[in-house]
Amino acid sequence: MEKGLPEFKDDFVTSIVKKADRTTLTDDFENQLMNTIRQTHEYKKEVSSKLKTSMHYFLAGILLIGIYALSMIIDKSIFNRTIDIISILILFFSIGTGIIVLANYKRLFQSFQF
Amino acid sequence: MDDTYIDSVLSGNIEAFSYFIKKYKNMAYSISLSIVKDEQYAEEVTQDAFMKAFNGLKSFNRTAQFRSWFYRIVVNESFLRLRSLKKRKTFVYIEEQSDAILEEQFEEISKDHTDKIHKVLSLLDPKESLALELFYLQELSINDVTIITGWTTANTKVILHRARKSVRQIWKTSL
Repeated sequence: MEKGLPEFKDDFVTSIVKKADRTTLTDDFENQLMNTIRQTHEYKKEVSSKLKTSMHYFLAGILLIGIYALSMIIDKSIFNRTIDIISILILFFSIGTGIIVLANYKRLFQSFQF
Repeated sequence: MDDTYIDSVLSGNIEAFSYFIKKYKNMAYSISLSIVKDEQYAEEVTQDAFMKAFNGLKSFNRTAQFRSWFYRIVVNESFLRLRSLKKRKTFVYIEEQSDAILEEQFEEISKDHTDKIHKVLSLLDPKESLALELFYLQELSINDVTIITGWTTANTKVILHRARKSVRQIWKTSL
């Protein structure tokens, strides 16, 4: 029992610890816990699906903004007009925001994924 | 056997987790009780530990035993609860009690040995009773105890030695 440690062989302490008749947990505990687990699982699934929908909308929005800014830049460069700073700023802003928000989505997915 | 159920839970069959609850609930409760020394808190801690294990199952490293990993969670949760209880000052930690109170408690000890045993174990330092619980009751090796508690081998041996000494001392004083 003492796994090869004779210096820790102690019949008195062993008997004390083993005689300590501790209350055991009932089946009710198990049922309650399983219910909580089921609820948590359902909640996570629901949150995950809502997150997915939200991410899709965000991606569509940011992609549209990006395409718009890019088309403005291309359009102006084709016709040799001065590219206005706003289009470039919009493009960079959409790329930056996209990266940051997607990283947050990833973090959220990980915490709500099973 | 545990691995099969872990795979089952991870593949989406959450009902398979009841296998772990059935198998480990009493041992987890017993470990927690040896630290927090209160049945209600021990039950809450056991529940929290199972929830943590369920939520963190995908991060479980298969090179270790599920039992050791789960008991580690129970031990950590129990010490966390103990700390928060001490902060809230709703829990009177035995070391803070005066000798006079201890003497009163000893007088209360029933002649019935089971009561006395419970009293002796409740008067032990949480670390010491945890060491006794794991080593003498759960019959784990020193190595397993170190994995579960995070103590070093030398520290575990010292705590075990101290625990045995304390049990004898408290037992004698309570006579």
